[in-house]
Amino acid sequence: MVVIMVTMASRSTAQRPNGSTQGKICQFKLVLLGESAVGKSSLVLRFVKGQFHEYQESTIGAAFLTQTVCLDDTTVKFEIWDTAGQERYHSLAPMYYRGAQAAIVVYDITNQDTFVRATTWVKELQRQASPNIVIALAGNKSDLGNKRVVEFDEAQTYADENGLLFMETSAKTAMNVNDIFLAIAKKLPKNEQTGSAGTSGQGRRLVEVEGQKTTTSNCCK
Amino acid sequence: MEDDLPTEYDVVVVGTGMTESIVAAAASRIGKRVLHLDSNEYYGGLWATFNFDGLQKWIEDLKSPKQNVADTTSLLQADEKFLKASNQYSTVENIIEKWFISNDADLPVLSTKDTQTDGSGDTAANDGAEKSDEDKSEKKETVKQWSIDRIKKEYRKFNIDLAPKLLFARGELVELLISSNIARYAEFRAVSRVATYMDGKLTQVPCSRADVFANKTVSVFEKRMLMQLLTSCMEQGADSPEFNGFQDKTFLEYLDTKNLTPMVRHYVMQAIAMATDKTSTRDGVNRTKHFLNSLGRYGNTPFLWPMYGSGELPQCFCRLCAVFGGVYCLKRQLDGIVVGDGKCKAIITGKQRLALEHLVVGQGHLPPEIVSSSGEQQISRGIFITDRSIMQGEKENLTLLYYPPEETSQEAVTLIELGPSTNACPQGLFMIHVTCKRTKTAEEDLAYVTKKFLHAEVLDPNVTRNATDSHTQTVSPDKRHLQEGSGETKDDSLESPKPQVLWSLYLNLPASDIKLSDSAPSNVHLCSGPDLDLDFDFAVNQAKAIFEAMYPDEDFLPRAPDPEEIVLEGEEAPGPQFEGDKPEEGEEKQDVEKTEKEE
Repeated sequence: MVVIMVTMASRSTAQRPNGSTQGKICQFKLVLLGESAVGKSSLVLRFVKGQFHEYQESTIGAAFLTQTVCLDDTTVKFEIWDTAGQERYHSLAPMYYRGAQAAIVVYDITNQDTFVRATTWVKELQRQASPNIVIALAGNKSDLGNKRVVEFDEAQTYADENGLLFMETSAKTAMNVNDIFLAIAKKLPKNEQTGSAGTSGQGRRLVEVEGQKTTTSNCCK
Repeated sequence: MEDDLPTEYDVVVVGTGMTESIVAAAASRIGKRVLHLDSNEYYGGLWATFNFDGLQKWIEDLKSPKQNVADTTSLLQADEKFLKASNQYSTVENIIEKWFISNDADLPVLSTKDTQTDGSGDTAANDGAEKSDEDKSEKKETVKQWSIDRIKKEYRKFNIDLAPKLLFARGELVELLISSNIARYAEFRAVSRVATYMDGKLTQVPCSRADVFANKTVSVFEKRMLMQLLTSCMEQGADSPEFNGFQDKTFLEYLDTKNLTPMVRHYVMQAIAMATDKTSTRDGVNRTKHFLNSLGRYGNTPFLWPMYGSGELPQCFCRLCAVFGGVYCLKRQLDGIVVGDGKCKAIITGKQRLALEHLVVGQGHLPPEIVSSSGEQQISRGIFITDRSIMQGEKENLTLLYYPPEETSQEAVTLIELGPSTNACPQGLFMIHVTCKRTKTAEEDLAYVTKKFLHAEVLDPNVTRNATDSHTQTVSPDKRHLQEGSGETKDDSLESPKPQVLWSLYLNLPASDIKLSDSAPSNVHLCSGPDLDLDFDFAVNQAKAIFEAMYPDEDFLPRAPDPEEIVLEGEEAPGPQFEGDKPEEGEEKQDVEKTEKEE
């Protein structure tokens, strides 16, 4: 039988100078949710690439991005899924949530509607996603404090009531961007089963193993 | 208005079935502007997978057909014609839903010492390789009896397929998922056994070499015989001289010349080639080849099942389409198409006129004016929630059974049994899908198989209670019920009672033989609904053909990049990305910085 290998995690074993990756590696699927233009992609780009573009186009061709965070003896590798614009006409496919262990629900602190919409995303996650999912609420664009309409306390209270992590973030200034991912990484369960081999729902992913095509069936011959 | 869509596209795709979704992804992947609409609030059309609640809603909605259409004349130019869309080609018929268990209120109170009686639940729960804490706590719950209320309450733990299909490990779809890199969106489970009904009972067909050699019921002589036959099918193919003189004969006639023992003949016919006595030699050999080709890649059998159901797969293609810029809008109905100069120039939807180069449309939405044949073939489907496997094993299995007709008036039936590890149902239950070609109604067509393998009688809660009181605890309550029940179960061996059906659904679906008329505009492309085949090859090949008709010189779903390969605009040193790992080194540094900062 041919052994399935998942290539995506290939980089996660890279050794770092300070030797901090000697411990175990956990991989998690994290999904982003929120209205269009609240800065979902910008948060990811800031976190993954350290970049910010004022007029960020939707990220064509990026199915998901990956980034690792190190916690004590554990390397947490995030596989970060963007909505790819499917949220625009409220048509996000349920497969998006499948097997997600974490979610960041983003709103724009200068737009009340996006906060209301964020609360419906949270409900949607509670209804559709795995019951153990770690949810973080991010009030983005905190650099635009002079245009603020969603109060910090209002969001904090909502987050507390619903068991969500909460931070106000700015993809532009990088404020709290790494921190929110780190907070999620800390909260995720890091036992042996999670995130092994890049699968989240205990199924297997199909990957072409090198040279496999030339391997003929090992059966009945 | 929020739901106003952009008004110009290269390709508009209507319907999110399998073929439509593959075409949408392929067009978007090469940079075409794609709009993908579906009138439903869910993805997949007749390929969809629902949770229990969603399925109930779907059944309810079928009873109240959608209404259209607004006045469109203001959106037309003088020389244009408006053809109104219709849903007459996607009619689902003969829906019969039945419960075989009671509501909570009618259930007798069970004593708490009854923990060992949940035989089926434990079998299922123990075998899964990894179990979370949550599952453990649920296991305790399965001690309770299943009631209508409980199934409705746990609706989210069901994933029920309208069109359940398997993937051959080396079939068209697996190869496409891998080559396009869409495979990373989905997870699969290997079908763990292929079963067959022989000598009055179900047995597992040895598929892998290890299975064949470990199998004690097949003699060494038969093993050699089987190997020889399969090797000739595999290596020589249907055009080989080996099959000379059998081109016009059936596969069975060919096999009969090989002096096979009845068991070997049965395995080849009914499990490997899945043939009836009418199957031609060519088809039989090709099917055998297909089966063998797919062995040894992903598991014990040649088949894979998508986690969360077949309905996930169209969504995977839709996601790729969206990732490359495709616009998605559900709950948006095609009102009709605008035709002028022999071409489809636009569609009308929600008072908007959307211009297009190509229209790709699922069979459920076509205007009758451009359809030639209305589709004769239909599918009969049965779906059952049961309390145990049709063939209990030491671990949870994912089973495929091909059951040939017992009489000439019947059609061959494919049965797929799914356990909780596929997310088809909660711990302690199984989900059975049966499918055949329609001749009468779904219930009538499938009755002979239902009767053979399932106990589809209403479970009287009081009978169960009496049984519980009077029997030892090592026997499960349902088994007791069967033993006490009518004489018909007596002839079954006691160790393997038939699964009790808790809930069943029969329905007839249209199959995929609708064709466009010659007068249909050449830039309208029709996608079929689910077909009768076991796999997705038909849909994949149809999607390829449509894409090639639209864009003959373009690549069909070339590999999408992995996250590590994406270099974004403005990123440093985008040049050397093909030469080495420069971008990754950049990231690596960033990681280090992060690591240092955090510590």
